[in-house]
Amino acid sequence: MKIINFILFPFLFSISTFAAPTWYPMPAEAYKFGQLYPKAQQLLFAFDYGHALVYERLLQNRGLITDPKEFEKKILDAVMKILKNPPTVKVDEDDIAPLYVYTFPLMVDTFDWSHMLHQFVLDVLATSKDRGPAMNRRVNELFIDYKKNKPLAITDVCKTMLFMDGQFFSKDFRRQYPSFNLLIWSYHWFQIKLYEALLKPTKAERDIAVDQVTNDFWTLISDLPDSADFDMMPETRKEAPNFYKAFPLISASFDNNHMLHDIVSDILASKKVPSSEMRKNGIDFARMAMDPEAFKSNNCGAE
Amino acid sequence: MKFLALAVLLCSQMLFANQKAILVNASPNAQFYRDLILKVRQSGEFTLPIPGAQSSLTYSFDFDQPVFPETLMGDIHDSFNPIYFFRSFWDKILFKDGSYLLINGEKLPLTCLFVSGQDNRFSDKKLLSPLLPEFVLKVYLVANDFSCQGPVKPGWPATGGREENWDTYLYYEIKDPTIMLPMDAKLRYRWNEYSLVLVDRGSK
Repeated sequence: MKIINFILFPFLFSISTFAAPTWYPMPAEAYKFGQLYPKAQQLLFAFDYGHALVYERLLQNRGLITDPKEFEKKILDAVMKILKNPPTVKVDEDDIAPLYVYTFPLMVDTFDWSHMLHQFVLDVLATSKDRGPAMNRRVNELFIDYKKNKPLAITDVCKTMLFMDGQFFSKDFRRQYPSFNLLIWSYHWFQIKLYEALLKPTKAERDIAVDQVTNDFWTLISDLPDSADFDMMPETRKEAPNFYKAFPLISASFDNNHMLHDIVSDILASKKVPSSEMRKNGIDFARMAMDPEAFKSNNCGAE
Repeated sequence: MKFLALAVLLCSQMLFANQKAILVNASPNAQFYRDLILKVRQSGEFTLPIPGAQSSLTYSFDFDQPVFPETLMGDIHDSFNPIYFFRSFWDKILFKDGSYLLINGEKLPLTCLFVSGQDNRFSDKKLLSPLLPEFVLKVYLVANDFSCQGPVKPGWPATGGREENWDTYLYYEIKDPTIMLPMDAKLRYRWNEYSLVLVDRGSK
């Protein structure tokens, strides 16, 4: 055992190669969701590839894309292959998309920190023996830990869609790459739906619900853009009402994260954002995602 | 009492031996690792990040014959729980002529691939996590050595010269075989070493 520890541990420490935030100590439940639901977990790891690859290629080919349809087709083909043969390990974004990570340091750290919360909430919901107040308390403890990292924590005050759609560069990504945009929204839908599935009271019901969400995800992306019928980014309140009711602040924080993903997609795709301004825009909009007053919604939770 | 202790010891050894045999037999054979190694990306682009300067490094190769008839493998068993083991594997495959490493316009012949790999999947399950790679492939794309003798010079120090045989190679690690993504890339160029960054523009 000592020999094997000795040999394996160097890779633990070499796997992250940039100044990424670290959740330490990791929650006891960390990555237990994947032990129960490996297919769903591997899809989540594959989504990391999907996001990062499109960002990196938009950046590497900035100003050179003459045929957006062809570009979209190639990147979709590449990502579909990964989704169908997903990784069993979590691959760092800086390995997949080094230029993107270098250009958007605050966005990337913000996403990383939020994605850890996403993961650990799934882990708790999947494994908690208690299905009532103790489980909810545990999730909220994680959220408190998340919020303690103030320089990176996305606000839990819900924002209006103007945050995402009211900027001078807004919607450029979805206009040019409608299918890939729907793929990203389908990822977000899948993540949100998993929370709802994991709130089912019994293990058997949760197993069935997670399988159903996974199958529905495959249906959603089976024939993009037609197969995913989203007019707007999926929101937690609508797609996961029970999760929203139990954890309204976490839900708002996750929705804000998903809006920030759309914002970075638009910055990367828009010709209105000069390359020299991208880094500054990345920092400005990440700060807005953390700011409870920026684009604050006055009818949060309203139907 | 001594006989009883001896009997318990022998039985436990037999049990471990049986479990060990089962797990080792269930593990992949050399061809599995050869097939994995043949999936290494046959072309790629990197940059050497220097403030205010551009640099480009690309490579392309076609596999030719392997140096070894089959991939070499070695297992280290956990001395406390021998059903778990740690597997290493090594392989060398020559490249066809025309394979190249292009560094800022200077084209060097790429001559062979050397892989030093590890398969962590048979170590203690308690140690496995999605933050730890199941596989690690340390890939060397070697320039200028048509006989592929390395990384250590055969017979060194008795054979003289430097301990290492390769003055120029591209090195990277693969920790996820899904798309054989190169990570932690380095260039050794005439004995000097530099860290590289992957450039992924997508397929043309």
